Amino acid sequence: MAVVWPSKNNFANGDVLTAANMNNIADTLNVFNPTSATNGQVWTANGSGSGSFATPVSGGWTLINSGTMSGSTITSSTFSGYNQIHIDLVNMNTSAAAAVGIRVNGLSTSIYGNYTQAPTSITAVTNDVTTSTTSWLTDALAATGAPYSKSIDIYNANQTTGWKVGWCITKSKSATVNQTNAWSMGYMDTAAALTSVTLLVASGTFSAGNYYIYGLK
Amino acid sequence: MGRTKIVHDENGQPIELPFTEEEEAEFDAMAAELEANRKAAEKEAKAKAKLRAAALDKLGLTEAEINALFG
Repeated sequence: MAVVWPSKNNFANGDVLTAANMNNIADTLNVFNPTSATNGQVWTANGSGSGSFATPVSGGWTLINSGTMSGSTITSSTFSGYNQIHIDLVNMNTSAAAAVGIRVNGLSTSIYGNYTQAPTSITAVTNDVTTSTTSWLTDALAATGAPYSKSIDIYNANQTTGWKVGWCITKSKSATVNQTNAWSMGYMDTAAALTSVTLLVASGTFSAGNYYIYGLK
Repeated sequence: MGRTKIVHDENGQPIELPFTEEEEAEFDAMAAELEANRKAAEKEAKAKAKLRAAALDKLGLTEAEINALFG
């Protein structure tokens, strides 16, 4: 009898091509048909020698921009669809005594408010609120000290009603001056979904550090 | 030298550009506002410290004693 290879002619998605089909192999081949997958699907193994095409899990953090801090402002690329924005400013410093502010969507109008606390020493905590209507100030205005790190979160960033709120922590490893040891709540009174963020220092420049701007879908 | 700003190109790469005249004027105004705020906060802190020292004196307590009591 003539050998037919494979001995089974029609395979549906998920069918198993066996040794009997192949005549002379002793193992099993799993066959899948990639034309059955929809756009964007990926092959996902099930850990048991098989698997299926599936839509990748959506969401997660995306690095929007990163770089070395310099200049007086740093503005992100235009973005959309992020529910939360997270910014890390690592080992940063400024060339002059100045608070670091945030603006959203390029807005420099009176939509911002903040409440900032900064200890002037480790034990004595003093309210040290600085206000600016043209940006959310994330720390207190004080002399510069050792390099410090700052992390900022802006929530409900993709909502189109109400206002946006944010939270920022700032800490140096060693200095106790209040610019580098502060926590701050901010609000941004815009109903628009966020499409950009700008970091700024009103006096002088960012003189050290790296920035990382992330978005969460 | 004037202020500069970092923006990002279509590939997300940073580019440093000079401020426009309008941006310079706006940041000058903001710096002046913040400096005024700083001076006001400093003045308020000094006034509070003076008041605290007078109150401690009336109570006959030292700074360490009042901190031990109330933090």
